[in-house]
Amino acid sequence: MPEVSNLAISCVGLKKHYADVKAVDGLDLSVARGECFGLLGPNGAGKTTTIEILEGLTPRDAGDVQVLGRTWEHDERDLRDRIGISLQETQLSDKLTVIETLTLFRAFYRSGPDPDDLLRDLSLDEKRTARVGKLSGGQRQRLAVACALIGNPDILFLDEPTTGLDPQSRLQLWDVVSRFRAGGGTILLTTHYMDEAERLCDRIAIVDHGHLIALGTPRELIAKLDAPYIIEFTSAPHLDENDILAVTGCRGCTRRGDAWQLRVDSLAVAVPQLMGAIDARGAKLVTLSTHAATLEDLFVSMTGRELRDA
Amino acid sequence: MPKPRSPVVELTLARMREFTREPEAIFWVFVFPLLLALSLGFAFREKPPDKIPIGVLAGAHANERLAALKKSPVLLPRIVTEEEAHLALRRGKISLLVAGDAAPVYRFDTTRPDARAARIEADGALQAAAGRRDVFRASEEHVSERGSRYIDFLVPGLLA
Repeated sequence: MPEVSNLAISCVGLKKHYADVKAVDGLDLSVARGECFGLLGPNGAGKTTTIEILEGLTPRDAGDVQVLGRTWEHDERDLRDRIGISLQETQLSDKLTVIETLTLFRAFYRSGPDPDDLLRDLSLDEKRTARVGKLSGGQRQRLAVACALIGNPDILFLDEPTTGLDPQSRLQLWDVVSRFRAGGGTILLTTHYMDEAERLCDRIAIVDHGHLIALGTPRELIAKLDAPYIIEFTSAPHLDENDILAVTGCRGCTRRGDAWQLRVDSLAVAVPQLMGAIDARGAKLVTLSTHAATLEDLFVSMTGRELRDA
Repeated sequence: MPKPRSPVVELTLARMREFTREPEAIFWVFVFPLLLALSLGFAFREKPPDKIPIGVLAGAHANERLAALKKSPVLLPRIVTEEEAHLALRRGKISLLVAGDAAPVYRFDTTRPDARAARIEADGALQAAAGRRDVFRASEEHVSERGSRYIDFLVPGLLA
């Protein structure tokens, strides 16, 4: 837990209800200055509601929120000048050019970088005079992030910045975020991409149904899993659960369609034994894949649901 | 880097750019009202009042009556047969029929203001042709107020 004086964002007992839905139900979070903090969860977990409350865009029902040691009730004007926001979907004017859009946003802030320099940093300088309506999805998203960065913010809020983008655009955005972080900026990021969170975030909070279900560094969170490796395989005919649990170092298994998923301590030990078990049953191996445990596996083990389809 | 302009100036510039880059908006805001004003102005332009068409029944006095009636600036007379006259009166093609032998007979629909006006005008013309002298000669003052037409209200109303 970061020291209170060093907090960029803190919220305690945050609650927000919509009609019958408890979007956020008693959430406690604290983000240190200079930290990249990830808010992870499936769709409908309350990520966007939480981030919108922290951004001062949505009123809360209960709880205390402080951003940079200030509150939205008393210091909204000052806070607006010190944060940058990139929403899940940013509808910029299609008729304006990239540089016109950025110059417009620059006028809203007291200080900030030169729009041309920022375009160069975000590899958008080639599109300087292109109309926003002609940009690709990735370029638009980078422009939205540029608009969030044009006021030289202390905190950058990014709500699912790479959802729906192609891999190259995602990498380019990750690069932008990493550079802002390297410059001492604080980032609060929501995403449902585990690889994104693992790569960018210093600490991660996993939320589900408005509750915090896990908090820590990516490494700490993955270490909460009972086994560090995952094996997925299909065989014909299928193996029994007892055959699988007999594999040395197997901490558990779950059936996912035709495939079995095993959580194991060591691939070097478990894979040969699994092959042996398949041979012993006279079965044939159809598919086999292994990977180191990820946050996705942690989420599945904690909630019994897939992160992206939950 | 040049000093950033005020947000109000930038927002105004942005709105103007968005507007001028939308051809449909230019058409509806500038071209369409102009076209509308021109077309309505043409449709409701000021013109002298129409003459009232009347018929003179064919017969012995028809030509002399036609000549007398043609002197009226208000009437548009023509000679018609009894059959034509019946049909034209019924359809409103003529407002009045001048019939009769020595003394004219005016046949018209009393509920129509133009027919009543035609009757007075035709009678005056025929009486004058027959030698009646006016007791006095009245002069006329014509009134035409600018801005009193329908179009003069319509276009400002549309723009407002």
